[in-house]
Amino acid sequence: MTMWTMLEKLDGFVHFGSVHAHCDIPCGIYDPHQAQVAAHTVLRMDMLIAEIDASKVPDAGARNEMIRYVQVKEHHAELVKSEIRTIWGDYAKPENADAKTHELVWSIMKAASKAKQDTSIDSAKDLLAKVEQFAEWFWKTKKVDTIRAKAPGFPTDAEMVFPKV
Amino acid sequence: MPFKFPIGIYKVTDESMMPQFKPGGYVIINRWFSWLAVGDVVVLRHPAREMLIIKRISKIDGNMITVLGDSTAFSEDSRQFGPVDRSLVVGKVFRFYEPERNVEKEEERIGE
Repeated sequence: MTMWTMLEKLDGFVHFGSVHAHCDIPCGIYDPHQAQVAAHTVLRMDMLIAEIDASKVPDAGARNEMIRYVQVKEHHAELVKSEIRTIWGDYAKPENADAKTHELVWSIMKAASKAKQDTSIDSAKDLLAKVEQFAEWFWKTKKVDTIRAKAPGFPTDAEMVFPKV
Repeated sequence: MPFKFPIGIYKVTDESMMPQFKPGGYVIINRWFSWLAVGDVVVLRHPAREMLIIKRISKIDGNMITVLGDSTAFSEDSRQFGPVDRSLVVGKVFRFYEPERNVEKEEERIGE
C-alpha cells in the first residue's frame, strides 16, 4: 500500500483539514458565456439523440452513442445551473437584480432540470432562451450593450448573446 | 501559548498549486518551523476568511510575506489580498503525496 492510499484511508476516519486556494472570493470575474455554451450543448445533444435511428437502438454501438449523448446532456444541464447560480449568488445584489431576475434564475433551474428529464429539442430551446435573457440582464448591469447573433460555427443553428466590447 | 503538534496533514482541494501540488494529494507540514524563506510552500490562514490556503512565498519584508499560487490563473493570493502577516502561517510544507487517481477530474471525462 502506498503512502497516499494510506493517507486517503486514514482521512476517511480522522478527516484531515483541507487547504484551498481558489474560492468564491468573490473575484469579480463573471461571464454568462459558459452557461450559454452549456445550454447550446444540451440542445445539440437533443438534436443528436433525435438523429439516432430508433430501429438501430438494440445495436450496442447505437446504445453506446445514445448513452454518451445523455451523459453529456446531463452534465451540461448541471453546468448551466452551476454557472447561473454562481453569478446569481455572488454577483447579483439588490442594486442590480430585482424580482424579475430572481424569477428568471428560478425558471432557469427548472428548465435545466426539465432538459435533463426529457430529450425534447423544445425543452433545450426553452432553456437556452432563458439563459440568453439572463446574459442580457448580466451585461445590462455592467452597462455593456449586447447583440444576439448565431453562435459562430455551432451546429445548433441558434443564437447567443454577445457583449459589444 | 497552546501546544501545537509539530506535524500536520492536509488535503489539497484545488488547482492553484498545480502542477506540483495536484488536487486530491496530501501535504505534510511542520508547525515548529524556525524560519521562512522565499520559495517555501506554506499553509496559512486566509487573511479575510475562515479557511486554510496553500501558497508559495514570493517575498519577505520584515513580518510581512507575499504569497502566490504556482498556477496564478487559478489562484487567489497576495495579488488580491496583499502581503500577509507571518503569524498567519500555520506551517511549512515539507512533503507531498501525489494522488494516484485523478479524483476531481473523473466526472469531466464524460465528454471526451
